[in-house]
Amino acid sequence: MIEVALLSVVVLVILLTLGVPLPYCFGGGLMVMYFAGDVFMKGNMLWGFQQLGNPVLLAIPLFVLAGTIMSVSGIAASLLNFVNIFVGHLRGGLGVVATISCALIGAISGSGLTGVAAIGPLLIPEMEKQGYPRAYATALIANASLLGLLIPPSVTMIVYGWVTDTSILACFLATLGPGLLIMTSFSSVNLWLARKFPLILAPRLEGAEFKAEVKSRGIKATPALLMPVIILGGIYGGIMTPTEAAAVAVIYAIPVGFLIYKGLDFKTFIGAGKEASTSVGTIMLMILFSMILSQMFVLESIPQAIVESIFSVTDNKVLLLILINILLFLVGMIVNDVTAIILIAPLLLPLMEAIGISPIQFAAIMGVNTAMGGVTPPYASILYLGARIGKVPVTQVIRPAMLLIVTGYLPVVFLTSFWGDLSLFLPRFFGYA
Amino acid sequence: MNRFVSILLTTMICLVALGQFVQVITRYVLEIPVMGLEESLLYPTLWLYMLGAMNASRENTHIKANVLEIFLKTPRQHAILAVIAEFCSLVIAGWLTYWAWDFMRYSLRVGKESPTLYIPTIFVDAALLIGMAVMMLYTIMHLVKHLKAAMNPVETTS
Repeated sequence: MIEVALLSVVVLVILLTLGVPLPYCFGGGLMVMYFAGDVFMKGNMLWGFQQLGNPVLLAIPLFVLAGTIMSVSGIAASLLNFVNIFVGHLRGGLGVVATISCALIGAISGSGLTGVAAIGPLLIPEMEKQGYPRAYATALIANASLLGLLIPPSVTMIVYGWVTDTSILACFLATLGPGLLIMTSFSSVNLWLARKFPLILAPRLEGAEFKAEVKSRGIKATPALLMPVIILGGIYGGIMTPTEAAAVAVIYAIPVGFLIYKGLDFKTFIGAGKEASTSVGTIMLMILFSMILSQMFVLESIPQAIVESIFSVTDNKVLLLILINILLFLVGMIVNDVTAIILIAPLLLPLMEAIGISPIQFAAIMGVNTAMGGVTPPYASILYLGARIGKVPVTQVIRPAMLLIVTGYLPVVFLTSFWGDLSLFLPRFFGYA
Repeated sequence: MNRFVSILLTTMICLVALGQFVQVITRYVLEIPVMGLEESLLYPTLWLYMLGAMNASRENTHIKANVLEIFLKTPRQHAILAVIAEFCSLVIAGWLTYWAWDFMRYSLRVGKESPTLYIPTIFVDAALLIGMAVMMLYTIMHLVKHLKAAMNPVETTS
């Protein structure tokens, strides 16, 4: 049966390469399993559709909507202005502002798209004006935008927790450490690179002027900064589930966008609603078919067969972790984050557990790898979106993006894989592991 | 059409968010949980997913990897690749629609109802068949468009 499963994956990859929409790529994989593997399709649609109605998954559309509303409502500008007052005057400070703002946006939206969509149009021209190369500014914001997948709440961790039956709150905490480390790494690399850029720095505010600016910009940013407090406080205070917190975030974001930041009007609101719903439709259809395919693999004991096949070659933990990271890197190059998790997590989890990696640590390993996948071509959706927003050819963005991947993501992938405490400390501290 | 779709989708997603919000308020603030609210939310939620997917097919904005496209140079090559991709999509969509129909027949035969409010589940199960059928129709439309572009190299594909 493992041969049929492999054939199914090969067909899936071929369809992906051809440019077939992702849900149909999984449909192609299902066809192979059905026709070549004598797997029953009857009942699978029923099972898959019922799974789609799970309240846990409802958090995805709601976080997507909250993120979309916030990205068009002008929240990003208030966050940028607030962070800018502390580090904007430093050499390379604006790059740090971009990185931290993307992380803050990530703590609201749960996706990798919102950061680049909300911060990019504001900060790329501003960074260029200050003397940063436009391609570098674009690459930095695209890379930092993916912190949204690591700073809780995170859509990918909701999906991971759901498919592997792991505590979603533990998964959120598992990726926080690596996310903060990547944020620090991007900020440091940016400060180091900025030494060579011919930058024109903003004047440093001091004394009463500084205090007045902190107060004024702080008041403007408060509604935006309150959002992660409501979401994360609600979830970790044990008051709400992630889905309920997402709904509260949406209901909070609407008046904030209309009345406080005033970036929302009827037209942009309807546009945001349509955009969010369409994104959700594409994600959910993909989840439906990839989940059925994944379930077929599990029912046919493919994960166990993989464990046995791999253990017949080697049972060296270090080697296996390196191989798994290479596999995740390659998968991230051709599919998006949610797909990679649905397809790979149930298949590899038994192997990870067999070598002593807990599902929570594996959540962090998958989280960092799939985030990196958003900026690794050929399927580098966030990098391409960044290039489009920054109005820079993709070919120019790739070089600085690779530099940030090598200095930011790769060391953290390594640390997350081989230093369990990085991802397990917080879940243990809060009693989830 | 675009405006109608935008309003419909926005209404659906806001309805779902509002339903969840009401649940939070009634359960945690007022401490009087509304019976059947969660199960009744399932109906707009699953319709939202399928309507969103249908709109993605209409706009041709489903997530694609398009790896091969990077290596192609001329509009004709792009159009031919798009024809192949749409043809594959059509075959798969047809097969999946057949199984959605199979699921719908089962749902009609069983006549299941929701546990608290006794709402027939066929109202939500129908979303899968309708969604798949509409997406298949849009795939046919895209296929025809790309075929025309492939036969007329002057035109470019989207």
